[in-house]
Amino acid sequence: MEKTIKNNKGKGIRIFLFLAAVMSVIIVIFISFFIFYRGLPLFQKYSFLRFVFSSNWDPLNLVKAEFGILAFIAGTFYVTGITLIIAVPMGIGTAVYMAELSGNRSAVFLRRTVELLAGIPSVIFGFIGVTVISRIIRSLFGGSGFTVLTAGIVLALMILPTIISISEVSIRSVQSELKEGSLALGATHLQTILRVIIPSSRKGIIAGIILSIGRAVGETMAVLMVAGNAPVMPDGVLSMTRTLTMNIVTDMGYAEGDHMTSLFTTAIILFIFIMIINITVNLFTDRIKNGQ
Amino acid sequence: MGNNSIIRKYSEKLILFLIYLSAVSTVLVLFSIVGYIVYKGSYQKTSSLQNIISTDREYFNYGDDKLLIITNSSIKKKSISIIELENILSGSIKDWSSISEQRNKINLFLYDNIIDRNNYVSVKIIRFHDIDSLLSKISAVEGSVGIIPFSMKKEIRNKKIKILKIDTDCIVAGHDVVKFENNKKLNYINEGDLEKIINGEIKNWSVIGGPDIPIQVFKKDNIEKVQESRGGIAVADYRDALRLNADIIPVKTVKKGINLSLSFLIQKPAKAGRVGGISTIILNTFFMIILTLLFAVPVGLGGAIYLTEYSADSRYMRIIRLGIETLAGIPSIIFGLFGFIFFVDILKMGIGLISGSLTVTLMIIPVIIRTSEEALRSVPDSYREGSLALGAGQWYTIKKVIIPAARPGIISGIILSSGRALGETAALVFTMGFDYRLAKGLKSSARVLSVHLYQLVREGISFERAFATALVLLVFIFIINITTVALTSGYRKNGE
Amino acid sequence: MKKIIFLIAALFISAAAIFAGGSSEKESGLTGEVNLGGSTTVAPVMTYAIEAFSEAEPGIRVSYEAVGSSTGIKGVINDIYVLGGASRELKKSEIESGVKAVPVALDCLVMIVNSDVGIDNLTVKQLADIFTGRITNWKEVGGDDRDIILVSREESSGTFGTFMDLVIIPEYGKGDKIKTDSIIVSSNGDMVTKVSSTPAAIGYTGLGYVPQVVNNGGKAIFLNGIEPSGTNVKNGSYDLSRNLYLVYKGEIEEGSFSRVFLDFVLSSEGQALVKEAGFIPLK
Repeated sequence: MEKTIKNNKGKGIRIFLFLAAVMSVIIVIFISFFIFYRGLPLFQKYSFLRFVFSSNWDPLNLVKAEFGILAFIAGTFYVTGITLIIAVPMGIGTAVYMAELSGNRSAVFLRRTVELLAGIPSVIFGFIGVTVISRIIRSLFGGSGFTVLTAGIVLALMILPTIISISEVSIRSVQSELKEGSLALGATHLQTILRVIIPSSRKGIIAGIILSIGRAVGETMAVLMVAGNAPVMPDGVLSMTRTLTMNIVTDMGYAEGDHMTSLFTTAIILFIFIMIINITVNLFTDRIKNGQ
Repeated sequence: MGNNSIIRKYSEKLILFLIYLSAVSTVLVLFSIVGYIVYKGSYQKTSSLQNIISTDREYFNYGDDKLLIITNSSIKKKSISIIELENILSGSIKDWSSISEQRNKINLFLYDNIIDRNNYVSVKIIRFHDIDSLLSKISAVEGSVGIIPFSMKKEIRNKKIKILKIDTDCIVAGHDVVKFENNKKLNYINEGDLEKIINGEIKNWSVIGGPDIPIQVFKKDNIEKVQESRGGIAVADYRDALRLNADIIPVKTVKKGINLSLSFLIQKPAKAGRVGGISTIILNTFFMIILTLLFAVPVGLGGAIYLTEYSADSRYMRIIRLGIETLAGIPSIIFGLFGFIFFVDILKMGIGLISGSLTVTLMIIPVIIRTSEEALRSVPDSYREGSLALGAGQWYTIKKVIIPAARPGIISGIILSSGRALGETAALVFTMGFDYRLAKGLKSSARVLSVHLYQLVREGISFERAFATALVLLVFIFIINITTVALTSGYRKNGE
Repeated sequence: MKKIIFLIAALFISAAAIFAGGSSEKESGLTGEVNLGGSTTVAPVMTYAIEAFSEAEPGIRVSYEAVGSSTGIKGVINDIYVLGGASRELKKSEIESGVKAVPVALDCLVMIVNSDVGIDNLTVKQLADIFTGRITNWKEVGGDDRDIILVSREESSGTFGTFMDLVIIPEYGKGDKIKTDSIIVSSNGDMVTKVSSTPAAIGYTGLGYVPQVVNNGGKAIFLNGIEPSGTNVKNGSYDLSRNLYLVYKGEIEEGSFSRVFLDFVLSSEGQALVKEAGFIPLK
């Protein structure tokens, strides 16, 4: 009798813990279902091709509303591109320094720095973007200072920690035999880093970069504060832009009807990008695990 | 060959230099961000345009009377302008928050029959005919203001009463100086330039952006002469200048001082955040974090326990893990959009504490699962085996052995995830709202620190206040960071 | 661990009690929570009015969400808001849905520019040309040789609606749009920040924001040679003036929140707050 109670209790706990574990899956499925359910009906009224390949965004036009988001997709890619150009070399360089060139103390110091940098809220990055970076851009290049470049720099600072920590871990995990072998063959430390260590930790580094692309694509507040938010096709690093996330947050407070649906449809596109990125990262990490 | 090795040597040096450079610049980036916010958050420099210039006189003339303004010593403001005084008398300023950082109510006490004008009807003025009772009233009531004849200054012996100095003067200029001409107009004079004008160092209006007319400095209160003159300027009583319809030029002053003060932390915000502090916003932030943890910790910790202690079937594991990774990768704006429609609209929870907390809960579950899992996994298997060998059940083992052993790691994960919640903005703007008063219930709209910072910047209310708020936010993040580091390093030592 | 959590919880509850303690005495029958929402232009007036009102009526908790005029009016129609703030006239369709508007303050559209733009005056025609992209350089209107940077509002904004109604539509009719490559901001405050921090920028806002513009380093310009000021709006010489409204649905009952609050805003005390918020009192 007592035993069955205990067993039941054990079972109950097990079920609770199982539910807690699958909760993430349930949430993901529910959110994606919800976003698609709310966003797809737009295509009954507005063609998918126009939605994705037109840059005419005029959702409140009473005669004929237009929901082309090509400009925002382009803006998202543009900003992310700039971000990567800045953050990837800087991030990998720092990671190499931390894993291979620095003493223990400075590596710990750098790691703390990176952790702190990772903890700074995006709104503070946006604030720094408004008060410092946009002013620098303005004094260097003129114009409004709220540009693709400004947003790219701000995002680069934000994703730097992700790139650094993941790259550092994968550089550190390169087997020491490989290193020693290379050194024994007469290669200098730097040659070993460039020809042996970085190539063999390539997959981890790439996974880190893809993961940080996900963060850059999904970031909202920081870019909202610095990118100018003009719904136009960006025609250079110094033009204003609006990204997918900015498009959602700008109109979310007041949109109605088809306009609100179109924001969910924007979210679908964003969601698909993020999913592709997630799956790629998963494939990469799986391959690394299998390779080892 | 030799050439080649030189090139290689230099290119190696260059690459090394670039690697060092990137490491150094990462550190520099962090320190400049933190340093800039600490600097701007603690020290402020604000400029503003004022019609009244600072003269710091003790008395002012009112009709034929020479009057003195006194206040309770709780008021920190040192001087008051004649415009502010008129607004207090007419009742359009009712508390100190409109003109200083304090939030005390203004109680106005006048001596006998001074300032006897019947157009001040909208304010409750209490008159005393006996100077001693007036003074004792002012020393007793915080935020009170009294106006007495200047001749009675010697009666003030109480230390709880202080004299409030008054600024009555403004700058008037000839009409041709401020005239709208060639699409241009002189809008203000810098405080520093004003001194130079009076000293005669600046001799032409064009130097400070006005028309090309020589400057003529007149003596005080020569308003009529100044107006008729060409390029004239004089100091004058503001009320006379208004009465004679003179052209008043505002003066741009720069104020320097401490930015983030204790009063900013403990006062309630008011007037859209223009005055007061952020006390209620800090509390709202804590409420949000506690509520979020209340939802997220059981789910996250439970999930982690299942993943480390129970699951044997790797098919489930793969799906669950994919779910966690995917959830962690979803951008916060999508959570915000989801929460805004699902919690706020469909579940009718409204924009408020509960909707915001639930939205953030969804975001931090993966963080808690990951960190707890790591902590649980680092508990050596011998603990489990030992406990099980002693005949303890699995749940008993988890509860009494494994969780206590992994506790520092779990706690640091929870703290880390509260850091995530603390910094979140995009998901909260449309789910938790903007109300900066203290949340009264689960459904009341509540502004948190990050949203406050965003609002201060977006609404352009005050960059100084935004910096002070950012500094507070950064200090919290810093505390969280240090705590997690301390916890995990202590834990690692124990584990080894 | 439990102790720590308990301690923290106790700390917050006591802190909350201290902060909440000030407003426990009741003065009138009004209780509960009331939500208002609408125009961001009306927001400062409402913030000031609600704070003063709450001191007089501590039993009731009033909040105002600055979501834009159109959303506010729709909120009133759909019973989300008890009262709505609007910075434009009601549309015909809105009147048909049963809402009415009471003017609570006067305001005018003020054109603001960055202080480095070398001009202090524009005509309405020039404005329309600038915002529709017919004029793109400041030298065409007498300023320095630099490209004009436009800052405009999102389309649900009442200020945007008024700007279209008073500036663009009279000149070019309903077919014309604001130039698309303008910075889009979603509040008056954001407008002020962006214009005063962006060289060569021009934008539009309400009179209440002029002090903020000046303090941020921008400036308000004259229109057809007339200064935007309370006096000039009242005597009709300034062209781009408008009313600010509170919007309600159906009839207002005596003793209801809406009645008491409207009376408060229209009282001399409320109108003093209108003035403090930077707008023009009705009387």
